[in-house]
Amino acid sequence: MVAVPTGPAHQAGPRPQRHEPLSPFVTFDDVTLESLDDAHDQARAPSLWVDLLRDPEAAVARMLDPSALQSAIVGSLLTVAICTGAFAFIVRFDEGALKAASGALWLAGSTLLAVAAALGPIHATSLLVAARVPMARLVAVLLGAVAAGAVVLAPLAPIVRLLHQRDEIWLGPISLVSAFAVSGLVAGTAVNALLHALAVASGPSALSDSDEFRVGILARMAMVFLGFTVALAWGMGAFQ
Amino acid sequence: MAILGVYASIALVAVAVARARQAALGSVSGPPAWALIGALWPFLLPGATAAPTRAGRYATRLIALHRAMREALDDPTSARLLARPRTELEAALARLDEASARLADLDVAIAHALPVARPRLETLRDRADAALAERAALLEEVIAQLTVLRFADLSAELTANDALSRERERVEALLAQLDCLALG
Repeated sequence: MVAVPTGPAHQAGPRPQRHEPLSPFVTFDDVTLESLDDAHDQARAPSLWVDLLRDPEAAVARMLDPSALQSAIVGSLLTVAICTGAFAFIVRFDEGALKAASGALWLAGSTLLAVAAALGPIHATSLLVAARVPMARLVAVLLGAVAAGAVVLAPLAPIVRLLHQRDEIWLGPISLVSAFAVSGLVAGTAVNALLHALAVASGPSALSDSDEFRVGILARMAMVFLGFTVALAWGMGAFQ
Repeated sequence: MAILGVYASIALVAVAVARARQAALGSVSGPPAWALIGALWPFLLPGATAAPTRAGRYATRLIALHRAMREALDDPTSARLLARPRTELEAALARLDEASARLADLDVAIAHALPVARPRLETLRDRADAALAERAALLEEVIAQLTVLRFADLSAELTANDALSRERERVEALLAQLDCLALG
């Protein structure tokens, strides 16, 4: 026997208003009374970092929602600045706090400038291959991808610093380059996944073969431009 | 240093452009937002000057509906589940898109309206909003029921057929309700 649910469909319609018993310590206010279940759901809603690293479709849903787009962009900006800054600060901490702080500022600032410099060429590429991405969404996608890379970069800082202390001729530089390579790999994967998810979510029908092809070209060119400008920034900015 | 001067002068232009654009759209932000746009104009200017999308606040929900319906209707087993053709369901979803665009237009109109006319327009907007929410919820339920039917049909030989036909009747009743709402 197959059990066919006879009640109304799950997830359909707004959630019915529920009230838990009032606490004697809380003033009664029927309007702002929020059910414990809702508060629990809100607390468990995944953050932007989790969405970027694990669920590109959910991250893209934020970008498609005009009211959430600007906050997604600012969130990604802060993530990039804080994570890359923390990386440079921890790696250069042996040289003194002041030098480390200036290195952190340099790395955060130059990474953001590199992303800004890559925006124009990537937008031009999207026009050339007839896969135009609106500029605001392109900014959100690129910043989101770089933020995913930066989130992975920050925890690698202690390893780089330890290896640098142990052997500053071989292990230190190799670990530094490897940390950037891992971060770049994550960011590149994220660019690809986010652009694909954006293309799928934007159209009412599935992507055709030629759509897939053009999105693929755009994703690869985005990786190339972003890799080029960010590598220039990292090479010339904070670690001279 | 020269490049910083260029950056700062573009920032001033960016703030002026964003301000003019927002004044035209009827939504004005405070000084902290201007400072943020000025400092980070390569990232924030495109969003601040972008044309308002017609989808409005139902955008993500409608996108999810489009995707769920595509998934439900592309399944070959669902073709014989419904007496109605696929185009009718798609037309219902297209009508929802239109209603959502109309709601967004109404929002813009309210931002520009004279204070005298505003309460009446807001009542109209609230009514359209409630109707749209109800229709979207109904369509979501139709698609959820279709999904149940698809999985129930896989072992249709084993199950008592009346349960299946009851489900089918429920979907048809929901669709009829949806038609009434769309026409009314």
